[in-house]
Amino acid sequence: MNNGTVNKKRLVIRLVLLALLVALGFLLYYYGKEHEVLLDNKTVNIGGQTYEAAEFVRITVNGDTDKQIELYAKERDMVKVTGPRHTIKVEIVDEDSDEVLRTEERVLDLGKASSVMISVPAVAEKAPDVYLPLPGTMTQAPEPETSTEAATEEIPEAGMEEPPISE
Amino acid sequence: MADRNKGSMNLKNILANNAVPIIFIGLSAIAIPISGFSGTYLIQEMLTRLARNSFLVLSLLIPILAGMGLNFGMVLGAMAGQIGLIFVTDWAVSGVSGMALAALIGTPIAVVLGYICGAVLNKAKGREMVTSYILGFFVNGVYQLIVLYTMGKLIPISNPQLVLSRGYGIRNAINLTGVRHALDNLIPFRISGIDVPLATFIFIGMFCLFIVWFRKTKIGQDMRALGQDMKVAEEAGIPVERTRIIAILISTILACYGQIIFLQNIGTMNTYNSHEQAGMFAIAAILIGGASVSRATITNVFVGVILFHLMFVVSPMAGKELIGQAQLGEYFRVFVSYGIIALALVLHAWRRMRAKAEARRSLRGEE
Repeated sequence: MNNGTVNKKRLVIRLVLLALLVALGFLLYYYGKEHEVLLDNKTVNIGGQTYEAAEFVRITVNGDTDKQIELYAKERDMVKVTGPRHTIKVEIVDEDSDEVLRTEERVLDLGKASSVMISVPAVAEKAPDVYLPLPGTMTQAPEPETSTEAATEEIPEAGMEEPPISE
Repeated sequence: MADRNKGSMNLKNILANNAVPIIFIGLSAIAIPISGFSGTYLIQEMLTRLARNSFLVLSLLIPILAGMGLNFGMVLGAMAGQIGLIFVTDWAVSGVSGMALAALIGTPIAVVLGYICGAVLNKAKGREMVTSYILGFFVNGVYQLIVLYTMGKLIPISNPQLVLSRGYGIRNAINLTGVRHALDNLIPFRISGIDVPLATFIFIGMFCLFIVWFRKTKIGQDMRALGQDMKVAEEAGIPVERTRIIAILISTILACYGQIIFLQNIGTMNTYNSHEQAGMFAIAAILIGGASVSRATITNVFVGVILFHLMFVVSPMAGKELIGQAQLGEYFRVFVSYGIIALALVLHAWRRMRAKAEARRSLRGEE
């Protein structure tokens, strides 16, 4: 009787330990997963709204200034990050004077996704949705109706360059 | 006169017991100046290799304590660790989390393989080393079958960089970029231009403390008793077979972790060969450190790793300087690895014969 209780107790302890190990495995996977973040600086249309590509932009991921990414219009770069949540800081910069014209920060929740593509102009414009379809599944943005001058006039301080994007 | 005789006998015993490390210290003393390597370079290399290999070599201590000789079956644990690393690379889990997850995946595989190994070795008492060596070949075949034919087919592998171009099976070499130097660089520490993998050394130090503690526990004492005399231990009520299985189980699990630490330092995994080298080099290192088939200490591990790898580093360059061919050094180190194991086995057999002869003389009442 007593022996049976001990065995039962031991079995319960073992099962709890096993469950804890499985949970630890999931946590390690979730917090250790590496994500590929494609940073796309092209004019895009997300949800009917067109976001113009920035002429020159400086991107800092998780405050790591040593690994800043600089993108010109129509450029794309990739950064690898580990873990589910990251901060991306987008600085629209005047290339000639190196003056920061505008800064926007955003927290990205990447979850379990292996790769995501983010529109840098959308982040800069505080768009509600900044995620783009990955290359290969991407559709082309429609031709904008406005002219180059008109686009520049709309957001002059951002130093936006002319549309459209081509993918 | 008697004191002088006693002194010379002691010196003779010390020389006989430490013949291998003394030979290697002598060889290193000759090879280091010929190689022309600087002291800083050699210290950096030794620290890196000490961090890389020590854990694997330490995993051999517990079976020796239990009188099971050199655990050639540690390659089973190494294979378990590699399976963990394949999955972690496929799931793109990086850093220390990746290493820990690889260890977590490898542990149950190592437990199963260790249990099988222990059970088989219980059927082959007295011939553990050759049995575990052959068992390593057998499990290597099973490992290759799983990795080459089921991964990517029955076992889903999504990363195309891991899978062979035919669509299933794992590639011969895997780039472990995610976990490369994850533990080594966890605590950056640099002294006089030398990078010290501090976190790895802390981990190894903790493991050494575990071994010291383990030897004092009930099961550690049981293993020591088994190592001295199995029959006496059995008659004293020690569960011999269970204790032996536990010894091999612990060694296999630790070899799994050791292989993960080894490969995170190397940064590349040779899917079908890495584990084969692990066992042979770890055993050669511990023997060079002065261990025998029946006795090994933590000191033997560190001395062995340093001496063995010192020869690894300096011998190709010394060979090149001497006869203009670095390949001589390569031959030399392979010759050393296998030769030292053969020498240790011969010495072990000779010592056993000598002990038996002495026991017979003592029974006859001879001096």
